[in-house]
Amino acid sequence: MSEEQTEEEVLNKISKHIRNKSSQGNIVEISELKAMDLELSEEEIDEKVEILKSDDQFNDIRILSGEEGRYIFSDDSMTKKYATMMAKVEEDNLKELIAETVREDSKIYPRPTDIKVFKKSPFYLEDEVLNEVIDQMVEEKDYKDINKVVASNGALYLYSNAHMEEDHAIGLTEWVEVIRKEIP
Amino acid sequence: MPQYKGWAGEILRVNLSTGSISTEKTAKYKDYIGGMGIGYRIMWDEVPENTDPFDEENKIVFAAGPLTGTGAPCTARTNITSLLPANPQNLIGDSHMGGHFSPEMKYAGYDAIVIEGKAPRPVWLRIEDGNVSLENASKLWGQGIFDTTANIAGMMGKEAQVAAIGQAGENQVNLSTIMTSGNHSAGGHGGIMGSKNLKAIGIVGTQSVEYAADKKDWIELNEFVMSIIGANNQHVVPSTPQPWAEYHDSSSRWTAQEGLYWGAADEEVETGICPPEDTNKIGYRTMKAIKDLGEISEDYTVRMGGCQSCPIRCHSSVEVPELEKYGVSRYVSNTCMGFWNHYYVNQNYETKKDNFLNKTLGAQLADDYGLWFNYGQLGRDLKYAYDNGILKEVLPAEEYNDIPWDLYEKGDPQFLVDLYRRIAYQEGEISHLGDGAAQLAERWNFGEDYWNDQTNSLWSPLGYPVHHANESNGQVGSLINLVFNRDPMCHSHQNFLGSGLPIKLQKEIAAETWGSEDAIDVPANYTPMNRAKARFAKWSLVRNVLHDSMTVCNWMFPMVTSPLKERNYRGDTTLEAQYFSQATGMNVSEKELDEMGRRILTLHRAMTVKQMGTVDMRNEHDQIVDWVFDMDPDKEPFDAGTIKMDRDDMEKAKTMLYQELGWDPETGAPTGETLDELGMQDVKRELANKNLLPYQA
Repeated sequence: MSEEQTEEEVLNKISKHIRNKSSQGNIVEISELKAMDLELSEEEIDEKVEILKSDDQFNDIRILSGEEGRYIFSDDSMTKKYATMMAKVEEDNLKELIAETVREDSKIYPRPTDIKVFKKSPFYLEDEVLNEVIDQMVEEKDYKDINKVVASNGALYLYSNAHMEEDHAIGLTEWVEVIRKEIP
Repeated sequence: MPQYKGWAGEILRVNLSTGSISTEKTAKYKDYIGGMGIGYRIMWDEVPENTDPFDEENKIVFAAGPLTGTGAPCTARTNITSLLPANPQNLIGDSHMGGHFSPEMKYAGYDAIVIEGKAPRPVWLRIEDGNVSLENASKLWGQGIFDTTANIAGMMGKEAQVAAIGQAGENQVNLSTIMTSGNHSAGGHGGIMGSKNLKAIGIVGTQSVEYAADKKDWIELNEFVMSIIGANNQHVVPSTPQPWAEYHDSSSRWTAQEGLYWGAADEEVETGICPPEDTNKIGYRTMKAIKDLGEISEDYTVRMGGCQSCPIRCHSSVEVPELEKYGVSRYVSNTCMGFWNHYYVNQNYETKKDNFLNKTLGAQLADDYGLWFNYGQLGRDLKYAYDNGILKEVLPAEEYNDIPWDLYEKGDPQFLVDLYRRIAYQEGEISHLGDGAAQLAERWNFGEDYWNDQTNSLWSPLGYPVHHANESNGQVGSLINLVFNRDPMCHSHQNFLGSGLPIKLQKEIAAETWGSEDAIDVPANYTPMNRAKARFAKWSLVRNVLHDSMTVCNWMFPMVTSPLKERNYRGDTTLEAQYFSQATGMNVSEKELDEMGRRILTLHRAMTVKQMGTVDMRNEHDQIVDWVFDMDPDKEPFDAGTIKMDRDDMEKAKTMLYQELGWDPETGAPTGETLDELGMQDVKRELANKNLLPYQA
């Protein structure tokens, strides 16, 4: 740290960066802070992150551990759920992204998951990539609860049989994809 | 009503037979609030029960309530009440339109316009504050709604608000509309205006509507509503995952997202991320075009429009150059069924683009002719008659061969140009598609399969289709679909069910609002009827008629939920009472206002009893066609994955709803005790005189 730069200034600079990124829908990988013009060593950055975690004036700053890295976001403008999804996108962990989304949908709504959600903002997955990932998932042990269901108009949905019966998933898919849309 | 604000204070009455134009005080209708309530009361008092809709003795009432014109959000609805030509027994009913018509009516000094009699020749009604006149409409007669509206605006000034009929209304097609602003249509009563030789009403109002509240309180209430308002239908989560949102739902009408544009605006407008606290972006939240017209519509969307004093812009304005080859303007605006109706007519389309063209061309044609589609039923009726070879039997061979069925089989948009002209001008036998489902089924001798095939989507033997019925919380939606004399335009329940929140939160809110979390079920995994569901159904109906009386948009209110995590997603069900109290100066609680709604709903039922000449509403009126109970033959009612209903359970549901409303649990007719309780002794006396109170027989 240069002599001209106080700790408070450094913390403000880092938190401002995190908040800006969060407001734009992006998480910050901790290693990314190194690229900032902070003149800090790796250890010093870790130190600052620890201070951000505990200091009340930064109580919107949250740390999230992914499979490969650690991420920071501001929960003033980003939910933990969204940050978690973005961490999986960052790590290209699409199977976990899809599986967690499907399991949560099946559990808390409950509803089957329209795969179109992964083709749009913020994921923008190409058809080919998405279909390949889904095809792999249904063959893998870790995702044996994830199943496909197709509406009468051909739209593909996924559900988790850990949280939803097959009959219910079939009926709900038709309800969400066809019946509800045709009775606006 | 000098001591109260909100109301304009006067009702304009125009007798077309005599040319008499008069005013009367609104005060005598205070107990019925306005809008629908005034309409029902006038029809009850003044139109004999055996009147034909197109008789000179029938009346038509355009009415608004005390909130309209005050600037309160989502309050520009116009309620139109008359007999329903498409109902096989011509029972009383309402049609509704948004736009700017009813605020202008209030600004001209009127809470309602009552039209009676029949003009000897075509006229239009010109209203400029207190200057009211009947004008010669001979040059307008025969014109479509677009030209009629433009011509009247040309005569009155661009600020004029016009409600007009097209050729369908002139020709007394049962399924016809009254339309304002060229794209806000009220379906079902166009023919009534036509039968009276009334082409249009044009209004310019230069006065104001006063509210009673302190200005600071009024602004505070409006700002609070802006803080908890969602997207169209009060959907409170976005349709895609977004940084600010804990939840998302692809069915949500909160479509604003990165990368979604009004693509045909002069400069592309990105709807973008619109978090709840950014109230300046509420107008971007709903891009209904992609819901109604598909994702293809993004490139054609110029902007989103809507009604006076509403932050939610639910009308899609699209520019479709290809429409010009069909002889219509490239600029189209509408929403929901205004587009979807034409999908049902021309379902054999080959590409998404064809479907898009069908919907936009259909809207343009139908809105100019003033055709109504009975919530999509007209198209399904055509399909049934065609697929079953009935048209070949009932149409003269020459007529049948003259219709371009090759275009129909291809789903070619050009088919609509031919078909809609025939219906609007009542050309030939095919035009009876415009009679309404029940009359058509009888005329063309449709079999039982017509009523009982799920794909035809009929709900009632009265000839109206499903409208958020068994697919919307089982018994609750089903009960709501039973009470009116047409499809219920009730979204009180639907908005809540479609809010986009997880079931746990919804059940918590249901418990707080209707006494038990059992008021709602997991979608397509229903449980048997219970008392909380009856309370939910009653509440939904009562709020619906309140909204149509106050007049508030039932596509946004009631706001049971909100997008705010800090409120744990709770909305506020007292808003209507707060607004009513602040606008009028009457201090009315939520409970008291709901009782006023029950009074209006009970008057509707009393009128239905009087018109049908029986108290046995359960068996003569509140009937459901068989497919609802016989669908999904491999499943039982209450199995997971079906919305099939159980006959005995549904009868129990009716009983519970009748009890909640204070109607006779056996017959579903209003009891004398309830009519007394609601201060409707005169209604009780009239029903008693006609032997139409339960227990009398």
